[in-house]
Amino acid sequence: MPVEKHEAGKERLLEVNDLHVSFFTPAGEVHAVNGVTYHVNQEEVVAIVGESGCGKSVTQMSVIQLVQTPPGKIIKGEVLFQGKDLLKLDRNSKEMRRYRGAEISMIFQEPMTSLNPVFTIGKQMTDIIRTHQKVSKKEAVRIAVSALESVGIPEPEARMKNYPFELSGGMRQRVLIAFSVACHAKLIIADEPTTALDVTTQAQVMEVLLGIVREYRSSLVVVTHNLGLVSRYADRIYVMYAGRVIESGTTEELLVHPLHPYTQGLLNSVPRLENDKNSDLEPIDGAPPNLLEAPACCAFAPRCPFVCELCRTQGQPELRKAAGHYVACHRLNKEE
Amino acid sequence: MTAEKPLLKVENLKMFFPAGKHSRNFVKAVDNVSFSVMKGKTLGLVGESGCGKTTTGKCILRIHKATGGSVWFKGNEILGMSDQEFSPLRRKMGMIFQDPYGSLDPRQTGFSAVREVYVEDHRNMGRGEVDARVGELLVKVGLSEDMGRRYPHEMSGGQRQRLGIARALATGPELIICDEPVSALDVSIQAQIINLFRKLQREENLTYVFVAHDLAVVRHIADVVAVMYLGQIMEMMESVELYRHPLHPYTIALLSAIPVVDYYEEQKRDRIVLEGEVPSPIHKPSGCPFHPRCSRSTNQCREAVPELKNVGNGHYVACHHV
Repeated sequence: MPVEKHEAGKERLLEVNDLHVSFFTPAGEVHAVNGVTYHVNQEEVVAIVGESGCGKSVTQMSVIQLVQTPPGKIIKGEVLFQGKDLLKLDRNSKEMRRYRGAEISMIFQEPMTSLNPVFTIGKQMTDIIRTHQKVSKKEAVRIAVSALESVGIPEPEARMKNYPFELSGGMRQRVLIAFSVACHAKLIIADEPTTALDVTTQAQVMEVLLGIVREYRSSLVVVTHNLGLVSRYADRIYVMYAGRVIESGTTEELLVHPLHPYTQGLLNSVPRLENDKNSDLEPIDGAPPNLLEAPACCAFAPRCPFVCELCRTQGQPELRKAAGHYVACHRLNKEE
Repeated sequence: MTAEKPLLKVENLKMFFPAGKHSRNFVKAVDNVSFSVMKGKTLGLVGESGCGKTTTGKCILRIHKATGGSVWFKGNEILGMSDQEFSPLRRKMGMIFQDPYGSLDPRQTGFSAVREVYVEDHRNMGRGEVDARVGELLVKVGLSEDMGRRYPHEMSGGQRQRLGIARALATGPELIICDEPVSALDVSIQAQIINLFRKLQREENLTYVFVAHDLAVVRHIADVVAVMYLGQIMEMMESVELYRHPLHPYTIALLSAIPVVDYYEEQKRDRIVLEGEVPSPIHKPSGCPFHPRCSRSTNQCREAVPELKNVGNGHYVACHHV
């Protein structure tokens, strides 16, 4: 892919090329991810936006090979992390385990399920630190305490002795961010990091996460369905639908001049504070497609208000450059 | 104000749960909450988790037995009624839950789930007519006949929520308590369901108590919004007023915490990030419950609980500084 002006001088940290992931279920093969291509530069915040079932989480899980196999299988594609193809590594190999956790760290939506309920926070943190770094127990405790401190947890020494259930949702999410801090992860993938939290806590957690990313000069991938979150924090956005990227560009470009009908629909259906109260919202009709069959044409065609003959006959649209960013839509490609 | 009587009136509602078997403390989940809703209108109850908004809804339906206060529905005080007296009124009140999957029987088709509720009130009706009416209900909430034959696990989140709404409508209610009905849904589906709520209200003259944590969602549906914090109402006003002139520091902070989609708007906006977390409702702070997190707190706030004062135009605020 050509280097864009706004990206000049930045190094590629992660590059995912033509990723295909399927799940083999009793009902048939579910094509969860159908050729996703995206990249993340150093010190960049990238958002991946889409509705449930669009493959955004599966894509992220594939990057660190956490997709459960079987039923899941990475069919093809490349995941280049600092130039090295992670998909060529065995998922259980020592090398893969080094990347997973130490270099690339993932924060999940529900922090309670990512923490072990029967061990203290301190035990879990020092375990992780000692897995990835050759340090003494004492040193590991020191690193853990300073990591907890850096994510704004009050009295970190006392919290080390707590069990996960003793902490609130916001605190647990901070502990998970502290895991990434303690391991100096170069890339943090946050999968819906604030969806389970209250708005006020959401703001706190996002500020902490952003602070960490800036301070340690790491990169961040935020997977979310909340466009508001994206507009404040992300540098670039990828919009996904039915296992494909359908539009990508800088946050400003994409939010101010959305081109794809799906992106426009998503933006229109968000309830806004500034709108006239008495207007109905403009939802996107219908529901996302069933991915049991790989879509032969544009997957959004059945819900698209501008659908035309091309959309049903021309096969899947390619991601092409249009007006400053990339969009996959036959109608726009035709107009050019 | 018109002389019209409100459909629902809640006065000094209190709900205290004992905090553990051997403790003498109480969790004051709802503490002195009062509001009223006119027929055909929507009251939005907003607040963070643990602020008592759901408990308030459940007390109105007598799912929880309230510790104190009174609830008037269609001019009758319902908390003091016997179960027999309450039963016919209860059928005029519906409830819609956040997670429709949890409130539906996995082994029952959509059609039969609605039919089950409908039949209860229409025991003398013929089988064919019942089926026809249930079919109409499903169409009304936007479910096709084919959908009615499906089981909950074969439906999407939005379709399940539509089914939940059809079930609530089956008793012919006048009041529906909606407990976070759209917070588990995707944005594009969320908008469909919100529009459905609005449509049903226009057609059936329904009254909603809409419990939610998302102020932007509430804005689109509520006529009056009450902001709750630690079991108390901090501010209550017409929803247009709320977004134009919020007065309580907590409401202002809540509004500013919502990220805005508009790019330029968001980039220039100042945000107030509240420090700390909601205190435990067992050991509530003295005075104003919000004072430990408030930027404007003074000695007065630490000592005296502010009253909910009318500041004009049906705008009520509980703050010493207003």
